[in-house]
Order: sequence, then C-alpha cells, then structure tokens
Amino acid sequence: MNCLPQPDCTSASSPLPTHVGIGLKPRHYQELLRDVPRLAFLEVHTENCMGEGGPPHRYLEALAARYPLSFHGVGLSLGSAGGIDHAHLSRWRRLIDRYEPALVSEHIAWSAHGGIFLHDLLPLPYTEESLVILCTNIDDMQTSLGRSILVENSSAYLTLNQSAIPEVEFIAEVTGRTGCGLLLDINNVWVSACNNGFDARRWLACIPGDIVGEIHLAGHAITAVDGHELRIDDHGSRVSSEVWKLYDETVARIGPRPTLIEWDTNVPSLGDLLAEASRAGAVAGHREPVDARPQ
Amino acid sequence: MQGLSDFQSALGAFLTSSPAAPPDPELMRQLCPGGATPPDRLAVYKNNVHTRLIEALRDTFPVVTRLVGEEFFRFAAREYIQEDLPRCGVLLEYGKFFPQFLAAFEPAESVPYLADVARVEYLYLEAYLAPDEPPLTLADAEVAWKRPLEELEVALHASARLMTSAHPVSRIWEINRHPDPVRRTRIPATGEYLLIVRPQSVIDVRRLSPGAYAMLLALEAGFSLATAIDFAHNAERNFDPLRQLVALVSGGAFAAAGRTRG
Repeated sequence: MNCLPQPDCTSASSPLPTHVGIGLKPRHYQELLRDVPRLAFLEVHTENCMGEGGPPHRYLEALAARYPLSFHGVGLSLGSAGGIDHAHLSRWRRLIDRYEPALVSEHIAWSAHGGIFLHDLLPLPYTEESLVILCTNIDDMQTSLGRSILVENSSAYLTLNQSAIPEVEFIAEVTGRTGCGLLLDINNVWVSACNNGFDARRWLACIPGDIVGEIHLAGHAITAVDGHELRIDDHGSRVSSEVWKLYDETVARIGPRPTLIEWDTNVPSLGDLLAEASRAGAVAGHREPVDARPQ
Repeated sequence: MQGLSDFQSALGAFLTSSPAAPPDPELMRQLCPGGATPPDRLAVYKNNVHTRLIEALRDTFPVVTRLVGEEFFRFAAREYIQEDLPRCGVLLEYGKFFPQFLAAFEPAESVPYLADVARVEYLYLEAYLAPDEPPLTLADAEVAWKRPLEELEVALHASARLMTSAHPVSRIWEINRHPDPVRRTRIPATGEYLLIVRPQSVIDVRRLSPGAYAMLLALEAGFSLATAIDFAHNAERNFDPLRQLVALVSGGAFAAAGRTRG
C-alpha cells in the first residue's frame, strides 16, 4: 500500500489556523466580499465547484484571495467496493491545482456502486474487508492529489450486523494505515450515539487527539420514526447544546483545531452564521481573537 | 458472510427502488435494529436519496416546477428517477434527460410546451457552468474577418447553446421565472429559434430569426461563414448578414479565439 507521510495534525502546524470557519453558500457571496468578516477559513463543497466555469468560480476566485479555503467532498465514495471514479478524481485534481486549498477532506462512507451515484453518505460495515477497501481508495485519492487528506466520521441511522470492529478503532486504523487525518464531526457522533445507543462522550474520549485535523459542528433535527425518536443529520439549524458541551470537552482534551460551522439547509443570514462561529471561537481553547487570516 | 460489494448492490437497489418497495429480506438480515425497526431506519436513507435527487431537479427546473405545481413536479421527478439514475458524482448536472422524459410523460401531455421549457432550463444551466472565455468583439471581428468568407470558420462561444421549439417557449419561460404572480398576458403562439449564451457573467436567452439560427447552426457544425450565410438565405428570404452578424457579435455569441481555415 502506498502510504503518504503521516500528517502532523497538531494545532501548531495544521495547514489552517485553529480558529473558526463557515461553509460557503451562494447567498452569502456578495456580503462576504463586501464586508470580509473575520473568519479563519471558508469551506466549500467540492462538487458545487465542478462546473468548468461561470459565476461560482468567479466568486470563489475572489474569495480565495481573501480567505484560506477548505475543500470538502461529498461525492467520491471512498467506501465503494469497486474503487473510486477516476473521472471524478480528475475533477478534484483540477480544482486542487486551481485553488490550492489549505485542507482537503472526504467521508468514511460510500455513495456510489456499480456506476450509480446515490448522492447520500451511506454506512459502511466496519470489517477488515471494508478497512482494506477504504484505505486503498484513500491512498488512491492521496496519491492522485499529491497530498494527505482528512476523512470525516459519518452519522448513522442504524448499525450493521456485519460490523466487527468498533468505530473508533476502525478510524484509528484508517489513519494509521494511510497517513490521513480525521475530520471529527461532533454532531455526527452525537446523532449516531443517540440513534444507535452508544455513549458519545466515551466514543470521543477514545479518539487519539493527534489524528484530529479539523472539527465540524452542525445542527440536527429530531423526528419520530415508528414511535421512536430519531435524530436526522440535516445541518439545518443551530448547533445543539449537547454538541456544544462535547465540543468544549474535546477541545479541552486535545487542544484547539480548525473548526467549521456547517449549515447547509434552511441557510440562515450571514449574521446568524457568524454568531455561531463566534460562539465556537469563545469555547475553551479558542480564547485568542478569531481573526487569524494570513496577511 | 456477504461481501461489501454484494451489500452495496443490495442496499443501492433498495434505495433507488420506488418509494413504496420493501427491502430485500437478505438485506434486512444484515441490519441491527436500534430503537426503530430496520425498515423504518432504512426508509430514512431512502427518503434522503430520493429527496436529494428531487431537489436537484427542482433547482435546475424551477420554471417547470412553477408551471405544473410542486406536487405534480415531485410525482414526475420520482418517475424520472426510476428511469435515469445519476451516473456522475456531480449532482449539479443531474437531469440532462428530464426534458426528453417530460416529452413522453403522458400525465403531462396537456402541457405541450413543458418539455421545451425544460430544455431551455437545462441549456441555461449548461451555459451557466460552461468554461469562461472572452467573447469576440466587433473590433476583433474587423481584424479577424478580413479574409475571404469562404475561408472563415467562426467558433461559437463556449457557453452558446441553440434550440428550436414549436411553442413560444422563451416567452413562457421569461414570464414564469420570477416568483411574482403572472398577470394575464397575450403572447404570440409562434415557434421560436433560440440562442442561450453567457459571454461574461449574465446569461442571455435570445430569440433569433430563422436565418440567424440556420447560420449559427452551420457555423457550429464547422461550415465556413460563406456557406453558413447560404444556409441563412435558404432559411430566410430577406436575411441581412451584416446586420445579423453585428447583432450576434455584440451579443457575445462568438469566441474571441476564432479559427481560420487552412
């Protein structure tokens, strides 16, 4: 297996400042360019930039001159048994060459099989076979892009009988074998823990701090399915109080990391989004001023 | 134990099946129930997959959605998903064949212009996402078009898209693209020749004369400007090449990096 060097994910040498960024949404383009609010970085859904030209690239180029970028993919399907789509990987490579983002990330999940793209992050059984497949695909991506990546823990609405390896061990194994880092999504941990009956605090405590390269925070919805409460990872509201608490504890344990506020549905005003970002900035370990833009 | 590929085939087949279709019993055996029973948990994933695809279509076809209403659009989109699952990791481009699907979709046959409105919307998206390139200006044309017209090949702008319709489809599209209530209005019940192009950042949906359309179609196919003008004269008795070319160049229809034959 072709392993890239282990990234140093400590706050001192992370490619992004250890402060707070937001997800980039078209409705905020103009305001961000006009006001240039104090933010450490902007995170972009890579697939939204995969048209060859047009206004999305014009805005992104203008914003890239003002903020560091993080490219976060949702369509490469690193968990696909049949390997990753090289046409999609080529689109990734062109974007990386064009924008040279500070961070690159994808998911521990699959979303494509047999040439069909389902456009949803689907659960992977935690087995040795999955581990080998996921690591091969991560190697493929890292080799093609010539850099190490972060992979995000996904939210889950069910657990698979086949899973034989505890999730945290699976994640640590993936980072150890491929040299990638973890994008720790604390909302996903909380959603999965509530839905599948495990202890989110214990789960988080088992994650080695040195593999965490970025943290995601988002809101989720609570619904009832067949009379049982189910948490849906919809990124459509403020971060919940439980997730803030877990974030606080995590930062206290492992130190600050670049942290993203994700709000992808019912997208709020930029002001509301910045208020969430400020709250993250005020949490333990983020006591320095939020502005960490390179001059 | 079943391998990952088989598991992904089984789950993929269930998630893309029609909303009411139950999961395969073998798939059910692989799931560990938490609070809710697995079919309900699986339904969450299925709903996510279908909702995301329907919303992607709605984003690309807002005028079609407005013309038929949200409920009918969702019904049509669900049927379309069964016929054309995404084969690309870029969701932005999903729906390329939705216009053809609508043309043959019996429940929509009382709206004969619907498929052509969908074509306008998809070509509009293509123009939006097309590569950026500088358009040919009148000053460029004066220099570049000094050669005999028989030797001149003129490249359309990378974002340029051509279409015809038997309906006044651009007018229907224009009237319905803003959320304001549509006032009773009279539009000519004639067919249209259209050019959709984005020379800079703004997309223009432009109605052409039959001659101008024939000329652009010929240029797009690689014929010389002289031949393209012949096509135009055949299509339109009083075609005025100079006036039409000036209007098209001013509208950004051509690429600055033109090519010359030989």
